[in-house]
Amino acid sequence: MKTDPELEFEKLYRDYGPALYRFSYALTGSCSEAEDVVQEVFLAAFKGRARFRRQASIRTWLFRIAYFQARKTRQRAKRESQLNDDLTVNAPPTDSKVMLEQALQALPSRLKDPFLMVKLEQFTSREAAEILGIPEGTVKYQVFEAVQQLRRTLDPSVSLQEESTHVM
Amino acid sequence: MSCESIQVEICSGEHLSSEAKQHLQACPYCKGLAEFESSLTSRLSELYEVAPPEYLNGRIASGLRQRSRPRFWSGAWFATAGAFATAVLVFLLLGSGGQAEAAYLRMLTRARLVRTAHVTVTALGRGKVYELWWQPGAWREKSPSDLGGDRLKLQQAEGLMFYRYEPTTGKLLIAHEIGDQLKSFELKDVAAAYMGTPATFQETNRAGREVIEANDAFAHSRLEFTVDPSTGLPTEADKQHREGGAWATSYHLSFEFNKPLPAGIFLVSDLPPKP
Repeated sequence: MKTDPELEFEKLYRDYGPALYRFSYALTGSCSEAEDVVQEVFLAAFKGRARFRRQASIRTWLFRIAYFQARKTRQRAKRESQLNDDLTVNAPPTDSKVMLEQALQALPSRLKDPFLMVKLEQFTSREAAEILGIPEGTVKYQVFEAVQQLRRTLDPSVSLQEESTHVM
Repeated sequence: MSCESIQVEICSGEHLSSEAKQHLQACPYCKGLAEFESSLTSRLSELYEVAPPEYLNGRIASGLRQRSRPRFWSGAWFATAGAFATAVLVFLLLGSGGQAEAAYLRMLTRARLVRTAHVTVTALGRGKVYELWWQPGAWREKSPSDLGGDRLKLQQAEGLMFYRYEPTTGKLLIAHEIGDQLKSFELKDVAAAYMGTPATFQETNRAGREVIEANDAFAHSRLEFTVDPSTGLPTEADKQHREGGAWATSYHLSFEFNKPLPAGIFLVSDLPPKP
């Protein structure tokens, strides 16, 4: 039997489920964690649907829930991994996808999260600011810093000196 | 406008100002940054070309079903002392009067005696669409026409576990069931979860039956229970919606309590279809 909430869920999942999963995977780096995050998003959204302000975008609302849920997951995973420190050093990667992934993982979360929202999920700076609960200007600057850091890692032709001395 | 502010503008991915566009033509560094930013965006999409597994939809739907219906389907019409007091208060505040209070008190008192439940849902024009068998800590649900299919949930040491047999793979899907699972229920919580919050209640007497209505906040749907006055337990319910200014029934629910349930209904080994 399909109740109204179930039909509503089917539509929401169709419209936002894959993007939420992609975003959750990008933040957590784990398929199983991403599944749990997405499940938690829809359960939390269902529970809080009466409180949802209709004037807000449903997309930013869902992603906000996903962001905070993924952050909790990440913090828990970090605490667990600190107990099992691995000092293995790997050879530098040569595959460009792997290089990009590693460069992203090396970004601090305060840069990575807004960067992924704007560049991967195509939120505007204003929308990302709403999700993160920080000023729009801060989002723009954090995305800029993230791009700069990634460029330094992925594009060795750009030297630090060139970057720091570049003035108008 | 400083160079850095132009670079921030480039990295924002938003429409560039004419000043920034002019600067890009003259500045190789910033032009390189713009090109890097552009390639980065497309590489990012390729890197995260991932899709959720097919079972995730059903798993979430099952969790939602627990919220929208299952507290009710679980049939555990028993209440804690606190919920009992709350329920009485609800009726008093709503001004339903002594009759409603008496009916509800009877229902709650009797509801503590529920040990097993069997619920059947039929959709008008479509026949049986959902069935639930329940005992404390175990739920077996069958809904052939929707995403859930045949599934079993068991309260175990590791938490509430969800089981479903996948005919396409011949394997058993096992997952943690996430979300609140009520252990005790009262009518207002069940109706509110089923239709949305908050729900209001009203008791009416129709053709000698004791009927309790639960309306959602927008009066778009209602759940009309029929209560057995001798046991205080529901025997039937109609899920109704507004259609052309009148109430129309879309689903009919029937309840049986404390009857023997089919043998093995709560065993995981019972899930795969019998040859």
